[in-house]
Amino acid sequence: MENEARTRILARARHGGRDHSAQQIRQLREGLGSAPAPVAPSDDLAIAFMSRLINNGASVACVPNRSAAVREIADFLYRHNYDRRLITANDPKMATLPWRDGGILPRFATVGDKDPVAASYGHLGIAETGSVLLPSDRGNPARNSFLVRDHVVLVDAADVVANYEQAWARIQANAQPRGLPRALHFISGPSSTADIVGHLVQGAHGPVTWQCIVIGQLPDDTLERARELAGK
Amino acid sequence: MQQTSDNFIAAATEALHNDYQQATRDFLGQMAPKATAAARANFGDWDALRAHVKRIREHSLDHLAYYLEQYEAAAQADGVQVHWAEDADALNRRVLEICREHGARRVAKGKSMVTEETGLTPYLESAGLTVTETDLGEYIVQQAGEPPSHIVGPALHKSVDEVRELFLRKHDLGERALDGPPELVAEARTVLRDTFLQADVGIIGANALIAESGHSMLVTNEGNGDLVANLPAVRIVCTTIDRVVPRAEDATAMLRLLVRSATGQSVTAYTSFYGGSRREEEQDGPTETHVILLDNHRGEMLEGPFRDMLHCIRCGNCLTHCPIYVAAGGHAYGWVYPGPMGSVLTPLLTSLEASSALPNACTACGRCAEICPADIPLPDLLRDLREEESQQRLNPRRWRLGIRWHARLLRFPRLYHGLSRIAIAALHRLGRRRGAFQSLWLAEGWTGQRDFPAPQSSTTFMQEYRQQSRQSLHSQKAQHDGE
Repeated sequence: MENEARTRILARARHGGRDHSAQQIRQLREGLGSAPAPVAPSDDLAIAFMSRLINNGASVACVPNRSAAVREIADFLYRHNYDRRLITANDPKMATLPWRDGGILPRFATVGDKDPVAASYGHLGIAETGSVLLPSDRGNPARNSFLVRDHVVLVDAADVVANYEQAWARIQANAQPRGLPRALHFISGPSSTADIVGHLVQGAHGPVTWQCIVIGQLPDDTLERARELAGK
Repeated sequence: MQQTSDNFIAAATEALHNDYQQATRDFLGQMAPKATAAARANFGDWDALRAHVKRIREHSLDHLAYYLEQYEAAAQADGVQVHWAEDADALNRRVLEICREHGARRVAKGKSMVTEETGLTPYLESAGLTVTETDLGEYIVQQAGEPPSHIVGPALHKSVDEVRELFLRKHDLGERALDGPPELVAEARTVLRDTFLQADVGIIGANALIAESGHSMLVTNEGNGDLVANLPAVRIVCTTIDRVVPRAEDATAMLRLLVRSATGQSVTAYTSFYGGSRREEEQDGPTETHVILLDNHRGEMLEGPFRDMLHCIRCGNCLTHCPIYVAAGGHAYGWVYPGPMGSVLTPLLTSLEASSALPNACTACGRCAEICPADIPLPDLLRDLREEESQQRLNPRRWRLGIRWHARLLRFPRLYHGLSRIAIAALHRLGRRRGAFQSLWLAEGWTGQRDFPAPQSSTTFMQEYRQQSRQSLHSQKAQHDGE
């Protein structure tokens, strides 16, 4: 019966559409080109990326290397009154961080129902929106990104691209033989809602605090310039 | 959801007498357009983006069967079970069957207008399942037993006091203050945590389907959609056939339009692309995934004069720009979709007979068409529906007679202009002292609510126009002769 429904739905779709071969359809789509991207707040990708993150309500840190990143995580845990135990997913980049430099005891696992904080390593940053890509794989259980109260995400400055078009090109290029990951999460800040009288509240069902640590040899004033650009 | 669109006038009148809700809508009608206008201005070449997405959507609809089959093949290759539903009942039945196959008792739902359209929640509840809406606005209206009043902010009509009273009544958490929105949000977060963790089945919608990859795009701010999509063992995506686009970058191009037009943001907190079930090496995610593709009259729309309506991206921008929506509120429309887009969609998805008041809920100001990111000519579509309404004799006989006589008179321009001159001169003479009429024969519908302004002179527009044209010609001729 469902098969008959499929046949009828597709028949109506065909009847209301145009009769082209698959090759012609591909050519027609190719001819439509790419979408215009928004005006970038800065020509510097890292500054543009961080200013967007700040606008999105994320807290942002900029560090020169992996050791400093670990110390920044430790500082985050201290500021939020957590002990030095941290859940991070079983990501190779996470596993090789110099955790001792921050005195952190990482547990490579998926968060439990009550765990309040987790850290992840983003595959990409998108300057257009201030988003970080966390694809589904061993290293990125969705629970670690959505169930915790506080989420820390690291991303390499070298992995920041200008816009979605560049991000998709990179994702396609890195795809495994079996295709794209089964889920791709672009996260741009803490969860929020304005559903009660239009009053914006940070921290709805997903993380209340979302900290992004950008790792790279960037000029000292990069974060300051991003803050100025964001007006914060 | 039971449709009450034929009660539009009475419901709108009632809404106008609710001072709090009227003030809220006035505020929304002022602030939301400002926020979305600022987001459009900051984008850069907004018109080029709008034109590009329109071309993509038109191309997708032109080749809908091809892209649906491509989507189905890609999704199935990723382990998704794809189902086809011709109408609301078919979708509801299929969801219930999936729930029963898994012995599910608890269902968590993300925000989905499609399942509002099909009435899925009451259908599953009547079959004994516990269904919880997890989007905060949807949760509030579900607890209150009300329909959504706005497609993006379903509970924006409720005051803080009303939500507080509702939570105190519904949540057995003892005495507490719940002073404002942050405390209310925190309580909903706490209460709904168990819903996410205990649900057997998660149901979400889709903002777009990607033919190339078999993914569906989900755009949210609260994070509830992603918790619903990832925590329960079974995920069901309920969506419609017109959501399919060729490539992932087409979906993110649409995303640029959607977010700015819906909330005035440049991006939402979460944009996720979902394919199949958990893979062997992964530690979480659903073990079974379903996508249900609903037609529900969209195939008919594709072939007919209302095809443009399939371009709608459900941003809700036309609602807050519409003077009728701002005055009457979402509930007056009596079904799932309010505002200008709802006034077009409701008759097409239900029946014109059951919603014949809606195409008339329009001042023809054109703001909706001007700001629609999908470039849908909403006032034209509403006019076409009014024409159809007249052809089907669904509007009052008196109204039809008036239009028929007016049309006959227009066939004789001299007579029409002559009568207009007499009428304008008479109205000017009778009303010049007060400047307006408090009551007027044949215009009681107008004067019952407000004064009818008296013409400021005894001449018609056409007389003034001709006179000024003659004067302009004379002065040009005099200037020419002088040279």
